[in-house]
Amino acid sequence: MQGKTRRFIYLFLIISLIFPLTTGYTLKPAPSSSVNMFFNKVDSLEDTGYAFIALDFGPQSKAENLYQAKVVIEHLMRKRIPIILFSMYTLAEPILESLAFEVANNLQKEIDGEYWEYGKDWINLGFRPGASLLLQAIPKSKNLQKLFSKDAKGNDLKDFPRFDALRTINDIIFLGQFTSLTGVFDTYLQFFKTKDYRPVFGHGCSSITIPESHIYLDSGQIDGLIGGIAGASAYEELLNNKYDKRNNKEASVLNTGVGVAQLLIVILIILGNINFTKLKKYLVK
Amino acid sequence: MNIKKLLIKTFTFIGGLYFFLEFVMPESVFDFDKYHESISNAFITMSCMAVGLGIINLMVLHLDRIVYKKKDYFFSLTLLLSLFITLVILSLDWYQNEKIVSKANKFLTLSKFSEVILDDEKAKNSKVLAVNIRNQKLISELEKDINLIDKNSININEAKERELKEVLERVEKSKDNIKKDYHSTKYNLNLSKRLRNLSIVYREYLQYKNKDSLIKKLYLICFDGFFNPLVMSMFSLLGFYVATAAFKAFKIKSFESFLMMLSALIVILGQVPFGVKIWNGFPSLRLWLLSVPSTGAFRAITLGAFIAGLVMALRMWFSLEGHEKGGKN
Repeated sequence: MQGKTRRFIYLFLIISLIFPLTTGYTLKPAPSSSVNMFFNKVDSLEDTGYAFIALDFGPQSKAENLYQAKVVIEHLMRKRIPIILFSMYTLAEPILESLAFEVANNLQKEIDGEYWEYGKDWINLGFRPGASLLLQAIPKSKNLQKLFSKDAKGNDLKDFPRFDALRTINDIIFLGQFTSLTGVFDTYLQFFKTKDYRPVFGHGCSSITIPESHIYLDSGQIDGLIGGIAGASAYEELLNNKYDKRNNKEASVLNTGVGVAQLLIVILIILGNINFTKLKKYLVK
Repeated sequence: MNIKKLLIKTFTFIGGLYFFLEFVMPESVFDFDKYHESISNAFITMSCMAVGLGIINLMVLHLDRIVYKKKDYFFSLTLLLSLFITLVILSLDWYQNEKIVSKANKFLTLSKFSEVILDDEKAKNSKVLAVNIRNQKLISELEKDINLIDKNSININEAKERELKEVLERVEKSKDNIKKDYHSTKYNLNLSKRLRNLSIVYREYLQYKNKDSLIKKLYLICFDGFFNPLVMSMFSLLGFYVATAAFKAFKIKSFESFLMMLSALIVILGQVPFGVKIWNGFPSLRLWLLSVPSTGAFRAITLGAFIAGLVMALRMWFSLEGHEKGGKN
């Protein structure tokens, strides 16, 4: 390909991505039944146990997984369900540390007089080594508080009264797992359950792994699926519809940018083929 | 067969046997759950040793290149320097965090001590020292720890710092109440609760203050300044490659490639906001593609891959995989 054409493509792509980001222009996301399922499951949860949120992603898929996790954590916080943050992925450590604080601050700004605090509304277990071995130990444990023992800052879990009742996997009513690594997701599917109990399982994946994750939605092994930034944007739309005061369109702005870029790709495919057909005809002549 | 190989094979077999039996054996025959947590912890500890092995391996490989100035030794030097700098900064940050936690935990220990005094008094435990002696000791230790907090540096205009000042005042009140009568345990429970609260608030205060420390700043430069943008840029470049590849390589040369392009277009248009504006049936069509043809194909692929994984696991369990079949020792 000639250098000039390539540069033009790059330029168009940059413009299409930057335009919504700088102007804040958003379009309504495409409806998604798997996101609706996820939303309804979280919405029907009651404060009878804990939500276990696994953020197994780093900077490489932050652009998608971060916004998915953000909307789900926000939804759980609004419902006052205590959240346990956790990761099997080392690079998620800074995200674990900051994400819930950011969501709590946004909520406090939105709702006057209500507070969300570390230790009461959420705790951060940090990165835990051991991968599948640790996950196998969770359903078998008779005392999860003892198994995890301390949070990421070194505090005893016993010192957080709201998390005092954490004993077995039966106390976990919801598992939200966000990753672009299908191998990691499979491990949760295999081990995060007992013979008689599996918490409501919602999964957030990157756009590229949607087809692989979809098979587990179809089989009923997961109860909801958020795919890519489009999924996060659809979830955000549902939150905006449910909570009147909420007007955060962070994920939708990004989704609009990605949407414009993808439309450009569709146009490029069509143009490339027209070009190719012309070239073929010319060569035949 | 030498002893090293025999040991590796034996332990591999025992490890595999344990996990196999643990999975298939019913609880009524043998309750593995009692030991599983400890055994898992042992395996996790062993797998952590891989970090050390990795570092040794990197050192051996790259130091050799640097010392003998082999081809591209500069890259090896960059790698080792980055490793060393990150390791130092992370260790210092970890040490600083540990110091903060241990400072705050002193109040937690005193809180527990206050509770123990109360419990022993209730249980009329005669084996321990008298209440007044223990309360005196508790208060003297508490005063020592409170004196370590630099109260003059607390800025009451900051919410976090104001909260610490308020909690400290409450603790001081409880302390004074106990001081009035060391023989009484009336205020021990109150002091214990307040000390527990102080421990949490003081830790948050120290962490808040720590944000401006040099080590924290270096840590942020290292991760938020270098690492995150570098990784994100590398993956963002893929977007640009996809755009040029779409123009250059996605050509309809056969019926199969036409089908592939058609499904790709439907999936894209079913997901982007513009797709619905063109035709509102795109999302349903996309869902059908994902739920029926794609799910069927992926199930077959996944099933095949897992069966292959099972065979591979069996080969590893019986040590059939590895050096004997032609590799180097």
